[in-house]
Amino acid sequence: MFSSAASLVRSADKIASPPRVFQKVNQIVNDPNSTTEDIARVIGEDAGITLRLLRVVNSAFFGYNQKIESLDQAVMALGTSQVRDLVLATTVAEKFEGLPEDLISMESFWQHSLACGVMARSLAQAGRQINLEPFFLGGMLHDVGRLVMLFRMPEKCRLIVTRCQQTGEMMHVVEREVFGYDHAEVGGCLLNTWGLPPHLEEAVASHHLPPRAVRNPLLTALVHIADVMVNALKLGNSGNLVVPRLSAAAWSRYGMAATILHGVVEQMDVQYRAFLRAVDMKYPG
Amino acid sequence: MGLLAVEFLEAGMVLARDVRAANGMVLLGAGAELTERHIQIFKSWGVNDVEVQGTDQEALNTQILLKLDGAKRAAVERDLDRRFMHNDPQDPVIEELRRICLTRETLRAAAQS
Repeated sequence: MFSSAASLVRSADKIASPPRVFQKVNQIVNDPNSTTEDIARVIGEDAGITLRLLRVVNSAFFGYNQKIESLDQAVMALGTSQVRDLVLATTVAEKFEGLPEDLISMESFWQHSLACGVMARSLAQAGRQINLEPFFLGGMLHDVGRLVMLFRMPEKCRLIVTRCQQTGEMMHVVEREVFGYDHAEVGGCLLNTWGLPPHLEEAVASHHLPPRAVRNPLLTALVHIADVMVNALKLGNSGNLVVPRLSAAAWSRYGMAATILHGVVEQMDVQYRAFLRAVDMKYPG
Repeated sequence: MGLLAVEFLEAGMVLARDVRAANGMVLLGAGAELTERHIQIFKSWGVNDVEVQGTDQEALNTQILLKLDGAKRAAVERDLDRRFMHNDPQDPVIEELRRICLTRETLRAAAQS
């Protein structure tokens, strides 16, 4: 047993660093002397990532009118930080390959994660936000802490999953009771270790307690709402069989009428299907 | 105009929008009147839903929900009750979300029958 979320994350060497290509791209983005060509070159060294990235960029998820043929064009169209975020979103799953799948299927876990990312982005778009990327990435990464727990404490996690299936309790509540911390906190620690920006760390760490957020309360609120929605719609599954309780404070932070949801879900569904196709994943269900 | 699952298409309906296969190829253009043969082709190309003219979404959904037998609908409702157990059913956001889930899942249950 680990006494805190931080000590749990420290114990896991295998995941102590972020995905390799993301790490390289991140260094370049943060280097004022680098150019867009440098980014395209580093990504281009990995043919698999290049192909996946171009397919996502050309899908209805972004909905560009013109075909984007090369990484150079993609960096020009999306900007360096958006490309970096997309590299992380499309490579993070590799970091957790080989986990036992008897408790949570990895396919279902990433279907849930991607759905949450696309939903948070769609909510932000409906709420007239300009920079949509943090919403997507925050949603995509919100539950990675659960994988760390599964990786380091499989037996305890098994008991928790079974108990929640029987009682209908919310999993983060039971995690807190058993470990003293929950997967959200663990996810926040992991993103901190990976050197991701504090507002993203906060959104992941507080997605079950959105009023706690101070850096970017809207980001945290929309990741929380998106998580509630995709659990309700059963788009993939990260372990929960019940819909987490919606925070009224998060919804009032969003400030929209409930009637906006119908359009948000419709738009999300189109973008979600397009993204899944681009990365060779199946639509859940 | 309404979005309709392929299972509920009928000959004589008119397309409001092009129908495309997953690879983007247009199978039938907007304005075309559907025949049984078209509907078979959509199914074989894995088309999930189609936009047709002249019916609004609410009316379509109600029609389909009515067609579905009571037992199936009750099963969907029970499942939703359990899933939403931690949420306040009076909250307008939860009410709306639950309504969206009910429609989607009843349509899916109807498609399977």
